[in-house]
Amino acid sequence: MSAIVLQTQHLTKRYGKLTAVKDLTLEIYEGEVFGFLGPNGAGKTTSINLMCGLLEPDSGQVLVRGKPIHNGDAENRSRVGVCPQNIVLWERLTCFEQLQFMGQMYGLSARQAGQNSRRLLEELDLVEKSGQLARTLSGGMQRRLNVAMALVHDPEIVVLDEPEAGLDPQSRVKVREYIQSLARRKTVILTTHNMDEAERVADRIAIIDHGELLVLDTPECLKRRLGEGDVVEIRLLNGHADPAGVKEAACRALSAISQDVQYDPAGGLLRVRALNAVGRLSGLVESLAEAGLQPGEVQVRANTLEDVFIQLTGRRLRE
Amino acid sequence: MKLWLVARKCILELLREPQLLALILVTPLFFMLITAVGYSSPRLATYRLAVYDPDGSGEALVEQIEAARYADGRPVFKITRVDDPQAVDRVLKDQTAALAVDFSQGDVGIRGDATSMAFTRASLALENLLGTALAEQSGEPQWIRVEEQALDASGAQTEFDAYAPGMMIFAILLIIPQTAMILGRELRWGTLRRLRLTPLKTWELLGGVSLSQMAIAVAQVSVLFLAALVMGFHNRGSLLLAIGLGLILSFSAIGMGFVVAGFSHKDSDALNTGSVFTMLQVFISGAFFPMPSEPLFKIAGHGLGFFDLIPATHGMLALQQVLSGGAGWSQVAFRATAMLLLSLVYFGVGAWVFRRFHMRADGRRSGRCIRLC
Repeated sequence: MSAIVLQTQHLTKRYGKLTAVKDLTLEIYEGEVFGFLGPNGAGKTTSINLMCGLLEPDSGQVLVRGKPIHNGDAENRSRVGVCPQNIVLWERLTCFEQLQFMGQMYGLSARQAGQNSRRLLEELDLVEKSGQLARTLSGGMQRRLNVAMALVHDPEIVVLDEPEAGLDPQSRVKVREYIQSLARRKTVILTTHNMDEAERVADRIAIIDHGELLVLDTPECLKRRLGEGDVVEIRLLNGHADPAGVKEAACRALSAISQDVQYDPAGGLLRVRALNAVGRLSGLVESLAEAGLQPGEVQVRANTLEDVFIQLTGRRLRE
Repeated sequence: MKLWLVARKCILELLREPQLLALILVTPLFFMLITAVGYSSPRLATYRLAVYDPDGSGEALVEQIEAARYADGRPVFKITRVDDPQAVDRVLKDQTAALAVDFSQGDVGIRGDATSMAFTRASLALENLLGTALAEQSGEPQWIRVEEQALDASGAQTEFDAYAPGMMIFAILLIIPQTAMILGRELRWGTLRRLRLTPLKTWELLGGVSLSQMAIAVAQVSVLFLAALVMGFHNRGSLLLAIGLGLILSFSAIGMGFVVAGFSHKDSDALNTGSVFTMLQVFISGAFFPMPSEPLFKIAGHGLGFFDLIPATHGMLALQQVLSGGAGWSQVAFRATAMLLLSLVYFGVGAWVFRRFHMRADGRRSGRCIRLC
């Protein structure tokens, strides 16, 4: 097993009566991409701010390579590079100037900071904009520069808070590829709302809500926790009349195929989890028809991380 | 050194923001121009007199009045002769004459508006002149004699000479909103949080910002000094000493900028609050007009009042003494020292406030705090 680079131990942070982070304990290993998921207001950004030392916990501690991050140790703090959710740049500095400036703020020599800056500009397809003021860049370029700013001092741990937010598809692909390229070279902590992105790039995923860690595992294990098999979604044409009756009838009709049947009356959507769903699809539809339910559109898909997320955090809208 | 890098960054950003740069330099220049236009008259003015002498009995005295000259050769009085008593009233009401001299009653009558500063000054000069002439005529001693003494050729000074240093003080005090705005912008952009993640220490950040602002102060004093010369300012002192005084004052202005930024969350708040601080100090310091100040206590023979708690008050007096009065270091040492000590206090308080509110990890509890420096 890889070495632990970052640990949170019983981390708690309160704002008045609100507990933003509650007893968060986790370990992040060297070279892994660690996905940090949660709905809006779940405590992700607070956790990130605690992990990089911008916030002080009310209790608990954060250890980077076994040393507390909140002890003012400059070297320890330099092990972490943070790419915040918002674009944070000096508008009137050029791309190169601000990268070099940040590198020097982390203690690099002008030469080393300059070398790192040039390399990052190249890796993130910004080399042609090197001498351009940040304010004149497009949103996608600014976002890429924002990522580069977190990496210019070559940190061991990179925290990327929603790095794909507001990006066009081309820039999104570029940033995703870049994050994937960082894997193994660096430890990446990634917060995102994009489940596909998390599933694709993260080695392990933590889901938090209301400040509490709900689960922490690999994406595959998380999906397995929901149950084996695929998900069949059937939109019922006559499903709106009596939701309780519809669900009962569906459960009875499908009892031989699946014990995991859910019904969402709002969309008239019946969700059935079953092994070998494709092979049993015609039987499933026939059983429903025999029970007096009229299946309309049918969709079969594999379990996704989004299913896990919704299962754990519910469907209620946040913020 | 990181301090230099921060200073360089601030100056680079300023140079790339022409509107702000223009505002910093043009606003005081504009005020300087207004002052030059409004106060261009000499401090020792040529007073206009109306003479009513129907029978010519005062002719010898009138000739002496006309012949009176200041040390620089300018006439003290300019005479207009009037033919009737109504005309005397008219010229006084019209303010085309500061005073009227009436020889019609067999003596010398001086008439004028007692509330007029020009009347007070002109009558004093005239009384002295006539007193000497009459004493000579009668052979009797002159019991009271007013002796004028030109201080460093002050006779050639204009009101503009007195107020031009005030415009330099105003320019330096503009550093308050400017400093506050620079830091407020770092707050709004989130770049201050970015910097807080680095090992950059508070004193390096604030030192860098201060250096950049002090460089601006030097530029402001130099540009305004040159502009003042072009506009007719009679310089008597050392530009280098003036720059030195400006630098000391800029130190306090930067400190106040830190205080304002400490209580602000974005640049617009910082700019507005900082501007209020600037204007208050500009008026209190006497940069625009002299402020009455009752001495509360004395230090080293200098009476100090409430307004002397503001470094700009000392700055204004010192700069006026240097540039208008030709004073050297020894003559302004007390003011400069007072200004330096006060500036250090202001700077210290400002740095503490800013660090307290913006440079420490959030979430202090039970006296525990994270010091990022």
